[in-house]
Amino acid sequence: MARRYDSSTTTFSPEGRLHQVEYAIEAINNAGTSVGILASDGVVMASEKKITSGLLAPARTSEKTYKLCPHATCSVAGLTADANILIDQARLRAGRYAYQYQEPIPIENLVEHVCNYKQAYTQYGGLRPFGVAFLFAGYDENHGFQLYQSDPSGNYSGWKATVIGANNQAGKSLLKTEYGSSSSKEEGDEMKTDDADAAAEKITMPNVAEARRLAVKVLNKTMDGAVASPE
Amino acid sequence: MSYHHSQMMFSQPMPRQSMAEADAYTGKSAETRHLKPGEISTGTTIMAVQFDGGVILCADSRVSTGAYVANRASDKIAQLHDHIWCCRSGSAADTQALTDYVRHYLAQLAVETGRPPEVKVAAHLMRRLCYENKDNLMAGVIVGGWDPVSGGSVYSIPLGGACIPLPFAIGGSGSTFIYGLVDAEFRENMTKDEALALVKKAVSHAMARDGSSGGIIRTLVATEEGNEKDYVSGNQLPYGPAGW
Repeated sequence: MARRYDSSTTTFSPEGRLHQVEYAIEAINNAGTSVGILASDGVVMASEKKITSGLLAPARTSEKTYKLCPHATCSVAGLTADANILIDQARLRAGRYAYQYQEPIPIENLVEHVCNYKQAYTQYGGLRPFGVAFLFAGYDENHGFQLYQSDPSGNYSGWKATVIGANNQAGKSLLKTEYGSSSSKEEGDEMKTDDADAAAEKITMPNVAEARRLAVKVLNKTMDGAVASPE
Repeated sequence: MSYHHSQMMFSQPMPRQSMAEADAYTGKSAETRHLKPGEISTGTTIMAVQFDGGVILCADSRVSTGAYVANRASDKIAQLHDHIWCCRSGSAADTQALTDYVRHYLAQLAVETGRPPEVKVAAHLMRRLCYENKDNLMAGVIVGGWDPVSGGSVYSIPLGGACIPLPFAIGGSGSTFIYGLVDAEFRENMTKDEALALVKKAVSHAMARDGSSGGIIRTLVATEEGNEKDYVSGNQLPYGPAGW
């Protein structure tokens, strides 16, 4: 039933779906997991680096994490070759913005530029979408530390904590219970004081140390016992 | 948002005009071209010196439009990257535009390679722009800095767009008065304090004799550890009539 409407990106299905985009999202669910957590004093990103062969030469660069400019980084899940194109776009955009406006690019501006680029491949040209999801982390003066997630459709949203790649649902459900709750703090960490408005579900933002512990916890769960590499 | 480099671009090498046409009104050679009326000049004294451990850049602070001093405390030492700086002389507008371009290219290079760029790469980028746009520019630049590969280096890029690596370089209108002084006093592998004393003395002497140079002396020491920016105020110059 979907078959007649799924081979072209530029065609909606009768249910109003773009199947090529959805298939692209499926491709990412086989990629190494990346988790991102927003903290009060920073953003923590942790990624699973899959070791596909012992014969591979030690890589000088990562296939998961890339610096886009002095104040923004991204983490990749999906087709590395596709990601490289988008990362070049992002780096150029950040550089040209800084050249033109003589100030660092606001993070959402950068994310939106990359996403608009991705969106074009879902609407014109007959080309396939990029099989990449990103986590963007960065800081700007107006909004402080930020974490964004984007997918092949060109949609993006800001998150306090999220997971992309393999087993992301398991990671997300763990984050839902753990993020900002007192169980993510260890002995000796400052405990949130009770106040009249505090409900059991109130989320307090962790600091970077707590966020890092949580990120590792999430990855351990999504990697289901696979050997952790130093990355 | 589209954004275009328009005139100033890296171009492929092209055959130059013949000498007869080179002096025509529009295509004057770099040496005989003058500032447009009203254009702001960094008629200047700039200097850069290699020492044991890094590089010192030094400049006066006068920016003039004709006989009017548009800015008496300008900063002619511009940062191109973390440990790479340049001294600017000639047209203020041209050198600011050049500096902005090179800063952009170096930032992109650094992000792509994941390493700090080398000073010679920065000098080469600057020189490419100066050479390929020589008909439209009046800019004399000295690029200096520190990188992990070559340590401290100094590159002089005069008007036509040549790029000359040197142990020390001087430039700008005031430099003509201090060639003898610097030739006599420069030594290789000076200490930082010796080098600082030399640049301050030399630029002082130039400021005393060149009407287009004056104000304060700004210095910049670039080493592996970092950058130290400093200045000598106009009434504390090592050489010059008292009371300035």
